[in-house]
Amino acid sequence: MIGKKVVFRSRGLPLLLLAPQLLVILVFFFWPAGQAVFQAFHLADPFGQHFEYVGLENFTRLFNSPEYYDSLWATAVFSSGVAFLSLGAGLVLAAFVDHIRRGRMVYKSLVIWPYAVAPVLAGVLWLFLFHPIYGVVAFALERAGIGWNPLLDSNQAMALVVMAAAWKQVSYNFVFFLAGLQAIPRSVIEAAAIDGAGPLRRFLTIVLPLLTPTTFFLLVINLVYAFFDTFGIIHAVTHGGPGGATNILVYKVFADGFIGQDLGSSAAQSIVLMVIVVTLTVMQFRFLERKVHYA
Amino acid sequence: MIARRTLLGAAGAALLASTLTLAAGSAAAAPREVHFWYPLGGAIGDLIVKMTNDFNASQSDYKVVPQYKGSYDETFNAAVAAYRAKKHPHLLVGIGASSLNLMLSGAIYPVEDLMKDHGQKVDWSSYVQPVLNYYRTPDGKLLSLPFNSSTPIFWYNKDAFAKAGLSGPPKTWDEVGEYAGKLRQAGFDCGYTTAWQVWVNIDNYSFLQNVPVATQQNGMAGLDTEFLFNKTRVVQHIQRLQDWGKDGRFLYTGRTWQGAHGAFSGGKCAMMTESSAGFAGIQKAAKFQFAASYLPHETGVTPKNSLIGGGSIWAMAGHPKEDYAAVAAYLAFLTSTDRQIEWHKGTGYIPITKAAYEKAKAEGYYKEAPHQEVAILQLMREGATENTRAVRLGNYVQYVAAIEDELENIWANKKTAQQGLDDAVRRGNEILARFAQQNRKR
Repeated sequence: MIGKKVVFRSRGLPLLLLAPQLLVILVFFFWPAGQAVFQAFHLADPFGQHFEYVGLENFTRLFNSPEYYDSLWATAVFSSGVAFLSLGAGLVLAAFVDHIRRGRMVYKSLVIWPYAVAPVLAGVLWLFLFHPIYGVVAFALERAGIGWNPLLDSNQAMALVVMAAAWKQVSYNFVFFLAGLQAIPRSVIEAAAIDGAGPLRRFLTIVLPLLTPTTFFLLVINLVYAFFDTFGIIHAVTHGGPGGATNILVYKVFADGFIGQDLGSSAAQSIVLMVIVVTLTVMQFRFLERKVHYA
Repeated sequence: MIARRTLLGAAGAALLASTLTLAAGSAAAAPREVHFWYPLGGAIGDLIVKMTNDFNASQSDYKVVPQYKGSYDETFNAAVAAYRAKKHPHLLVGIGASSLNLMLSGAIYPVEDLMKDHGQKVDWSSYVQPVLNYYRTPDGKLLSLPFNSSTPIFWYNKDAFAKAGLSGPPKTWDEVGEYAGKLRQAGFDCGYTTAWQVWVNIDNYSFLQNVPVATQQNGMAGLDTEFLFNKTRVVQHIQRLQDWGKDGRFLYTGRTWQGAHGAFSGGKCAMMTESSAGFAGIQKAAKFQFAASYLPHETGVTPKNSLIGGGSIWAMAGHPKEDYAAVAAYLAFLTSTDRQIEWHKGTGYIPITKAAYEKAKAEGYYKEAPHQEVAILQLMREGATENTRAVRLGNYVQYVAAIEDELENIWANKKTAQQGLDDAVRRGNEILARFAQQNRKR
């Protein structure tokens, strides 16, 4: 395949073919993003009666607030927790299913289910299990003598939302890891086995390195998920509490903008969030991708 | 391209057809539709639908379409978005604490004007005045119609009290502490819990003790307001609850009300402060004898009236004039004496006309349901001061979230009561200042 390129003779046709996609991006990404930039420099009331240019005030307010730095820290803990847990669990499940002969379809289907659950619903499900007053698991924990109170214990609250958010993403990772595992040639693994490498060693020295392209891709996707798609879970489980311990950046954008109706501040926050995620992604591609082996 | 054109054609035809149907419909003098959005689910929502159906059946000119829109915040935000898209409802139930945002929104039609403009003669003096005053402008015009008005009261588990050797509800906070200790000794997991912690333990606590929540008469006298509750006896109160939290006399059960209800109705906490409108839920879930009494006060203080909560009905501006005749007729229907009694009995919200209260009393209703009268008597205590008229501050949703954050830091013993309340006031004041900045030109 290398060196073989398809070349269009005219300029018009490729542009025409790209147009639908470009239009979608323009309407659903650049236009709203432009609106956000515009609003970030304004103070507006929700009903749209009052609109005033305030310069950088929305940003200075943000960076003068100690709670915003708490929120940054919470986001770092939450995102790395979710990425680590969901990647780990997805990989373990995929590795097991890869070895199953019978009923693989059943396992696969069951593991994929959580992906179809909406974030808010996932949050509510976990809340019903772990709420200290009416949660079933919480009741069992209390019976077992384990003090469980995510309403006040910020570490437990963080653990709970990380679990709920990771649980939803495990399916996605599982699918990709399973595909990645199945793409590894049996012959390589068999050769290692003949040389006397045990299952764990084979996994660490052959399977894992060959999975790095998948892992890298999933890491980027999972971080983006943790940064952007998880406000529904936070909203259902903790509302950002206790004391702001789970008030991650994207939840704050949602809460200040869509619940509190402070559009200016919310827009400024979403710009900061976007800058953070873009920076993170660029850094991943620059530094982590070097360690990836594309087969 | 051919497929696309066919699709467009089909869509056009469908549109044309629906317009024709609409035209035909209006030609046959269909009743005028009024849209009513409300945030009350469950049994209370069912009652709204039932009363609305009764209204629709009682005449043929108008049809009110009630629609449940989720929580107070969700309903409010849906209405804001709809207003910006010019698709807003005629009527909206808003939470009382958010009133200032609606008052200054420019998107509402004052209820007093609306009723007058459409020939509904209302004797406003026959209404329960403390409730009405909450929704009046400084110069006395009524902006929205009180509808689901409540106030927090003190609920207690009578069976648990008997087991702990207690008779009758505590009157002061000192007694609450004493009772909570005895309940703990009798083997209960917790003594006291609360729903709506800010409304109960900051706002209403301040009202009963006659201390201000914020400057400018709690915001009634102007927009440049600041919170004051880190400088009043609220600090000692919160400090006391923090101390009780350490030995289980107080249990924090989360924001809003679900956790508190679970703890109370499940028999875990025998004392709870919660809205009078919590009645329906408690009655459904509690498997024990319970009763309600007045909110506790400090020893040596003669308690003032409590603060109203719940919501009111706002008429939104921008609809054809004829629609508002329907709106006025519907509101008149909802405030008739019999409807008010039905609403009061079915929900635990208080009746808003004196006639409805007197009639329920004459029927002997409060002998069989004494807790229903507690809220009314507590709200109507004589001698209101400028500290106890109302709380009228902007951006309620945001500032209450900031205060709850800091209360949680106190309950988790990360901050002392004074530190936590100082931070709550600092954060709250920034939110109030932002609201004042948004609205200074009005």
